[in-house]
Amino acid sequence: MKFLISLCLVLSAAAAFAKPKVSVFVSLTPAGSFTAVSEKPKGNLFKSGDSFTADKITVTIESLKTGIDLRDEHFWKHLNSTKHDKAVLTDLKATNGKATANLEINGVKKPVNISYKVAGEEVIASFSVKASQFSLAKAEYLGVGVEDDVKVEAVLPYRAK
Amino acid sequence: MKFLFLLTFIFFSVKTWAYPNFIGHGYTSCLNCHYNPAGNGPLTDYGRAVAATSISSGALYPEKWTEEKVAYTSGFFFRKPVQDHVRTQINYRGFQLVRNPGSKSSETKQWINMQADARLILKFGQNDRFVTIINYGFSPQPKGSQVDMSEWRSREHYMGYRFTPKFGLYAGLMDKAYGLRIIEHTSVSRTSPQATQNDQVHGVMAHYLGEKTEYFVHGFAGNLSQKEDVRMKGGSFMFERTVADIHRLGASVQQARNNYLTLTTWAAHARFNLKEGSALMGEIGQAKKTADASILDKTSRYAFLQTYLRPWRGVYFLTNIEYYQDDISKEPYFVRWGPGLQYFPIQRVELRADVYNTRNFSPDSSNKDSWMYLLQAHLWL
Repeated sequence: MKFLISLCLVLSAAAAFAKPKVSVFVSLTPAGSFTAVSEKPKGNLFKSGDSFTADKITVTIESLKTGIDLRDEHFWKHLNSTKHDKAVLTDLKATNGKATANLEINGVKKPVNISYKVAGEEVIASFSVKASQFSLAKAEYLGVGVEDDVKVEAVLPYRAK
Repeated sequence: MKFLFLLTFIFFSVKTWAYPNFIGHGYTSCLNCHYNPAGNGPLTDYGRAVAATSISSGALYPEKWTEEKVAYTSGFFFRKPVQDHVRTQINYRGFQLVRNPGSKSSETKQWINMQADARLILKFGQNDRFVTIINYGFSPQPKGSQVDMSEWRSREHYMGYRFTPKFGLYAGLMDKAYGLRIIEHTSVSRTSPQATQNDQVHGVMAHYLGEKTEYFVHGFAGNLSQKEDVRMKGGSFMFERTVADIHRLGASVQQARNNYLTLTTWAAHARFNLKEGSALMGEIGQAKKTADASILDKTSRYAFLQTYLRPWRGVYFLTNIEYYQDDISKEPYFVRWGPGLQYFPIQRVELRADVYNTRNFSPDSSNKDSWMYLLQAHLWL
């Protein structure tokens, strides 16, 4: 009995420490959605006072998984991963829940506005982009397509500068 | 202690093994994979490809086959469609039903041919905006019937046109837009509101698909192949809303009547995406049945809960729990529950085993639990 309670507590505690993660929320047409998740973002996020900065945070496109192998392949191909294998966020400057940075996907760099909140030792950030702004063609497979607007959420640990 | 074991099982299941079905893969609406926006019936090309590449195991395909090839061979007779306008499908489902297994006096075994359908789909226009569906199939012997009433008949025939990607109209013989269209057609959530395997109706259904909402309004004149006095004429309304991006909550109401019976029903349902293909679904509802001759006036209540947990591709562990009170003014009710195992070794083949235990609760009598198991095969081309 005690063992079981301990086990539940340990597992609950383990679940509370989230890993660094980047989630891409993609809406489908006519309906539905899927989420592509990478647990391998790389780069350092620094905290100085109430501000955060990062020079470069990268996600390897082929580390993004959608839960279906074929959908993974289509997603990577759509993002042109053989030619541009990473999504790169640079020059991140953040304060008071708002941040700016440059996002490069498919070799196209665009500024993005980010909202964030601090949760313990991590920052949870989110922003929206339009796929078409990154020269990504409209995607469709057997009559099901994807919406142009894509939401991104990142959970990143930070450390003092 | 039992509670803790149960809690631990649920905890582990959800956190580490939770995989299920369609909403579990992010498909909140049925429209991506079915021509009928409320689900059921023929699959679209996309739906067949999803079945081949995520629902079915990849273990039996030749190693050198890519997922792309698996998807494209999901068409009729393993072929990639060579034209856009005509699709054909064949479906068979049968099972061995064993009641009271192990009992020397009361064990019964029966093979039931539950489904044998041939389907023709005609589709035209951008994104298949105009569809015609014809589904002709076998209707098995109704439960409890003493004479052979099995027959071959049209199970569906309707046309649909989507005026915009958000709005479509469908007219003809089809299932009522009501509640969760689960495959377990003997579930109380399907039988109680008369929305199950043989309850298709002729009518017109409007479907609106918003960004987070989906509405169905269905007006019907009963099944016109039946005698007029028994046709259930009326309408139903179903609504679903996406919550927290990946889950769905919904509600349905229905009123229908024939010369002998008035049926008024409501239901609330939920579908939760547990990620990685796993899902949790539930429905609660009531059905009020009133006979004009005052020989019947009762309200039934039901609840249904189903888990789909996908430990690995092609395999699902299911649990169904059902509650049914035939007349809420009286005390008796029953609870039916049981685990199941579903295996898709390859697209076109579904093997399934279910065990059901039914326990009756009544202040006036006491019955032994009844047990049964089903071994099911579902094949489609």
